[in-house]
Amino acid sequence: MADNGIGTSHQANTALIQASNLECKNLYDYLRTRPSTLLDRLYNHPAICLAVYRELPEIARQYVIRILFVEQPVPQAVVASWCHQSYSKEHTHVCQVLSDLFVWHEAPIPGGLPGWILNSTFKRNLKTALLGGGKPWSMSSALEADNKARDVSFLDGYSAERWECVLHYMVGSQQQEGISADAVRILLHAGLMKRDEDDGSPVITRQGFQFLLLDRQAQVWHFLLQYLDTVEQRGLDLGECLTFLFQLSFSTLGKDYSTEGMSQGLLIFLQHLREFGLVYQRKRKAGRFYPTRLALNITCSQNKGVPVLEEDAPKGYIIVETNYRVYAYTDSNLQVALLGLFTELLYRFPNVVVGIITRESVRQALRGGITSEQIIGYLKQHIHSQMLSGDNKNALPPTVLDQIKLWELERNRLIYSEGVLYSQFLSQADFNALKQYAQQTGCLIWSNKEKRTMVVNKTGHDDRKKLEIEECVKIYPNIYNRNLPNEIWCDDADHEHCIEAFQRFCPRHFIIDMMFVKSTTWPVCQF
Amino acid sequence: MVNVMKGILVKCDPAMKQFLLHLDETLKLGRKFIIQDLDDSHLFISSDILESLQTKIDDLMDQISFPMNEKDK
Amino acid sequence: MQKAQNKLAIMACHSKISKFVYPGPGKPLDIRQVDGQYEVFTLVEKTVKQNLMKILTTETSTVYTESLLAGTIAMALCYIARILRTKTPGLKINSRILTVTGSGDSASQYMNYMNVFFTAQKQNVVIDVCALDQHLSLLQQGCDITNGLYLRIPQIQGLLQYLLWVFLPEPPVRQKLVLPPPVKVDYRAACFCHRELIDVGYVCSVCLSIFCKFSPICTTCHTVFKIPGPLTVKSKKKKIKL
Repeated sequence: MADNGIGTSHQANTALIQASNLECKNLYDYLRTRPSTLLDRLYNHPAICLAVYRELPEIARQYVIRILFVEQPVPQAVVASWCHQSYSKEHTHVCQVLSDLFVWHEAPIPGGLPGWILNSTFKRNLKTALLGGGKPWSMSSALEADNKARDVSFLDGYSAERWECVLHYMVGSQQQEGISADAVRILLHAGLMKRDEDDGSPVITRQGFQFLLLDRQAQVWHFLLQYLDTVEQRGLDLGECLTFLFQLSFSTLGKDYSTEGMSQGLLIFLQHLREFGLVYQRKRKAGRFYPTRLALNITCSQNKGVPVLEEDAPKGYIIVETNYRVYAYTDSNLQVALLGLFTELLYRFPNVVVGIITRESVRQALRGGITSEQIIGYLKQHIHSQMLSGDNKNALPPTVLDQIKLWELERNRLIYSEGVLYSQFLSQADFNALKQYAQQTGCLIWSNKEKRTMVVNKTGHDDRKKLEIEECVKIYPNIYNRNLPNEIWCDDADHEHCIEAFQRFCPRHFIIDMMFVKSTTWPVCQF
Repeated sequence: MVNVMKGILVKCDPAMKQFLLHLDETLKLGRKFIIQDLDDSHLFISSDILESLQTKIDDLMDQISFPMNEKDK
Repeated sequence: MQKAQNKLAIMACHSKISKFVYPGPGKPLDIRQVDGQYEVFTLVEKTVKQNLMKILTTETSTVYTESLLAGTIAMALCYIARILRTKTPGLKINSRILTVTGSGDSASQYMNYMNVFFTAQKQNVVIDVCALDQHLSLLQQGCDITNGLYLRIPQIQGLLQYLLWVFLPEPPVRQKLVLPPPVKVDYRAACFCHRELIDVGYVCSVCLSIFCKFSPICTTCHTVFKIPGPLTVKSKKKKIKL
């Protein structure tokens, strides 16, 4: 199973203390990290404006649509009055989001009051997306009907097969043929797999397991974000690729689009998308391509488990019983492998797999980095429709869900945080002063006034050390910070004088391992 | 002079804390590891004992839990 | 537009028929991109234009009676029920109906309206009404029952703005925004015999139908009522002092 790379005990400690989890950025987080020049270029395309609009918080969407058709800046006070008093915090948050994304910016109105005005590029292109006008993003109107047209079910099958290729590779089942070196590189870059120390072959990581249990839309989005990070290295243009991706996400399923007019870089991007199953092309040089369901609406996967209204969404296949048995009506190797991550498989038949959720199997999963939330989420996602048609609230047996959560909590009975303990302060005033300072800088972990003891986290302590040394060097003319960053030296030939100066200084400050290296010429005080 | 010590702050429920104190007293981990007993739910321990501590905790959890399903083998 | 998972249906009605304008009957149009508009919007626009044209050009009679609004709302509710029935289990759908109308009030359809409103309330469907011309007290009652918004547009040029400002937000968002406050609703009922709004009337104790004049047999449930005679005064019993 997943090995946390336990080598030295320090590594183990860090692994126990700071377990890193899969971070899935949503569109807002991703765009916020991009420079504003990129955003300006992106807003020239209606599809991106619409995608960004959809991802805005509810109230932000109302604000934007209200001032979409207004030419002059709107006073900020007026905008603030649109929101109910009790939700004013949400209003400020929403204003921040809109400014971060450069959707609007401040502009003074005649009269001097501050106002908001929509970014003109954004406004123009959002209007185009809604009302028409502008240029189409693909030259499809000139395309003749395809005599080898593909229908929706074929596209679904194709995209499922290609995407599962990648997932199979991650799980390590030798069933499918391997995937291209490009895809492996992306998986390594994303931290979903890492090179094994022994034989150099990629093995799945903790984050990789968590990735596997996400729903498909979230997987695709996360994977694409990682891909876009590497896009510059391949010589492709990030803005172009992002634009194409969004335009693709707004296309219609089952329709073909023309590749005419696409630049070389975009064609390479298209081939990569073809490999991952987001588009289908009969041959590399075919002049048309079909987007598949994976490519549509990629950005809207952020709401956890929002199911699709499509009539042919993937059917659920898992039944969980109150005696912890799991029956999965599937014959896909991938789904069986995923189930095997946290259940103990008992029997396998051509159309059904029987497993049992035991403490051991769940602990194994937990050790591998999967959280109980993910296990429960996965079960909920793929639950058989028959279990849902009964009582909607308790589709999965609550006993089983609670027990999985309890097994997780059992492992987390102790919470560790590395820190430094300060105790035996000479005066209450010192204690209070330092406690306040620690609280302000946000590194105080625990404190007790009666015992005059407090614990500060390591970064706080290191910062404090640096400050102390700087102060010390400033005050005392004969003291220098030489050699190591946590040592101060005294220049004074009179050792006793130095020691006295140190001792006078030290009670107010914090020294560990005060060491007078008498063998050297100069006494040294180590912090 | 203020006493400064590096280590790990452990937060747990009172029952677990008693268990840790027991481990410390009976030297189950080979040596004493608790630097200071802070309050009912916090302890300050030395940092290098962490891995063996986790193993001992896992053992304890294994001892007090019973498998729900006996396999029919 | 707001969310990718939202679905839309548009209906139109007049005094003879009510029809689905989008999704239209028959196959959806095959459109290609001609401009930068989102393809789904292009499809909706073209379909609506085409079907509205068909409805307007095939209407030839010159007799104008009341618009069949209650029937259209009923059809919309059926459509919502159908979608709810065919959805994947475990999926929650919130539905709402927006009625944009220029007709006047029609007391003759009172029963139909009430049936439709109470059904909508049962199904948790919100009904909003945008009145272009006259004040519609019946529809206002419907909005009140289903927790919707009723708005009478003072200026028709501002129609788009009113629609965007007031009717675009979904019900959960509406409480966060400052919207026109609900107006006092006229809850007068219409009598079943003349379809006129009345303040004081007679109610059948079995089926609760309302009449403006007393009638010995209820027309809805055929219960027989005795004609009330003059009230007799009971003689007080004399208390016997012991």
